[in-house]
Amino acid sequence: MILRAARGLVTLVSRLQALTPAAQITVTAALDTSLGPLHAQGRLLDLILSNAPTGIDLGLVGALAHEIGDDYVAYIPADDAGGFVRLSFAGGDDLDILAPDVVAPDTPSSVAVIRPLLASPASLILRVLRCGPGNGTLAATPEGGSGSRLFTGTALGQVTIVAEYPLADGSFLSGAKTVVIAPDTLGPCTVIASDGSEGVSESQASGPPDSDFREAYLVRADDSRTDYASDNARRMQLPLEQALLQLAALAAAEPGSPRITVLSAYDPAASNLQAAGRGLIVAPSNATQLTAVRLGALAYRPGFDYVEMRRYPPSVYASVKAGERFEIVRSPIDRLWPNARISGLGELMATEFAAAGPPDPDFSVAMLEVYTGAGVSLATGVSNQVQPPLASALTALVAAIASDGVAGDVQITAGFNPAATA
Amino acid sequence: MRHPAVGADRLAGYALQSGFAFVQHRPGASGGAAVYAASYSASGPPPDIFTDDELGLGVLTELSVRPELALAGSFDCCLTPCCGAAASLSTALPEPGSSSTYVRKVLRATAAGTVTIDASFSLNDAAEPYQFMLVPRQTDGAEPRLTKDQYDDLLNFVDAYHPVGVEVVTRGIRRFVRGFRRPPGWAQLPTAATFPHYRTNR
Repeated sequence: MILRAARGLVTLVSRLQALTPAAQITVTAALDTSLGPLHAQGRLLDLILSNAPTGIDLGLVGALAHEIGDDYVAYIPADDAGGFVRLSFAGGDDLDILAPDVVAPDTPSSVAVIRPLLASPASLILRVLRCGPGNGTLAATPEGGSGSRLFTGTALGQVTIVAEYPLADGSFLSGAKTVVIAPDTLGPCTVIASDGSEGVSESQASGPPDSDFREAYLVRADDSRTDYASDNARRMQLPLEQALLQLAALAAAEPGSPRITVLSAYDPAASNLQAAGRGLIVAPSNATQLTAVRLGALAYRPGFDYVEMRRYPPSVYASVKAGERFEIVRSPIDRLWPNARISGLGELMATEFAAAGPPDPDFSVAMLEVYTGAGVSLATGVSNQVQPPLASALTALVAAIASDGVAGDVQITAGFNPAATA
Repeated sequence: MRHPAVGADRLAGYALQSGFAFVQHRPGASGGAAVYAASYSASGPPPDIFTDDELGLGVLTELSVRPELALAGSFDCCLTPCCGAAASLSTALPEPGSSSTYVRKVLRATAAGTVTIDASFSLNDAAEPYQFMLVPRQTDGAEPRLTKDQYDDLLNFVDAYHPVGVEVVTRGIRRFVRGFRRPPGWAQLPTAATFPHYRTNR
């Protein structure tokens, strides 16, 4: 199969096994010159499913394939040729380049074409394509492998490594891989913009303060991976909060999952972008787990447009360009219309059995437990026996109501009743 | 079920957030409006293959904005489908006593594809028809500065050359005028009182 089909298959299997690790996908047809033209070019796959639990079927595999962006998905049902999912793919990269996503400057890293197997690796052409201030060089590997090179970043930024392999008919196989050249650490007093330019001013990198700034534009950051030195350290504009969330995630991925502390954010008296809620000072919460110089390097990677290292205390000042003033967020329906019914997935006017499943065919009272959770009161004569999933949902309901500061018990007016029909 | 401090409409919303498989708002239940809710079986909920940016066909989701700007203005939300996609945007049940500015929306997907939801908030400070506004163009982050002479020249120019029937709004540049003794209430003065007219009527 072509590289794009192979990558699509790997992604599909990964997503399916995240849902159900036991399920297996079997490819029943791929490259086959005796079949149609797409089969003959390795651009079409037929798949079947095995070892799948109840609820996971070929229809779901097809939906997953569509969801991850496969170009064409068809579910051929069982009454036609035994049932399978057919995927086909447009062309794309032919050569799969293995290289790190991020490299430190002046640190050689291996770059190689790992598939398909090349008949004449010496004919492979690898080069660095620049776009912006990023730059790097490619050199022969010490072992002299003709299918690989050593890439060394020479300037911060982003480059694309392009590979081309000539074929006998004059055409080329090609592939590309984007590599970010970013520092491992930022030294004290370093000032850097998101494009890798050093020594820039904050206004050059992040732009001027908002001419129409109002305090109402500030959000209150509340990320659980981050500590805040004061209440004003939580106040910032939305683009700054989004960059901070990315930084917290990068820090949490470091050894020991270190936390970070926002020392200050919105400061109306500040002379920098903190006055507009677009700048903040952040430091490691525990300097033995994460150093400020490493934190500075992490801040350079995500959405900050300007990073400035500070010394007393060791910390990072970072700011962003002006952006969206608010974001659209989605949630389950907050209030349900009278007479409306809805499934847990959000399907309106669902039937109870379609949403929750029909009554358990093997039901027995032994499956019930006595509900003893706080925050629930039962009307006279109502059974306190429930199945464990109902107990969990009820406990979550009580917690959700209490978290909004609403007092009072949930009153159950009808519960387990062997004679009930719906 | 019921709750003494939460209406059945909101209690149903809490039930949806809490993982119930089926929720029904029954306004005509014996004893008053109530919520009927059922859980999944022991095998758990069906697999959810969607990410946060995706919505299943026929599924409802509620949209709100964050932060809800505590400013006077008007909020608008619209939907633009692309490439065969279709969805509907309707108004969610409002929370009693909530701001009428930020109306929550309910999105329902009806055909596969991509839709864009645009939300905008107008501060109601834009120029109206037959008006234009003078505002500074900021380039390097430094706040612009105008001397009083420059301000007087500028105001006389627009006063003399603005099209008939068109109003020029200059209030936005007044705070950048520096280097002179500002009269009391400078920011509130009528524009005509902030500069000397060079041309005299014949």
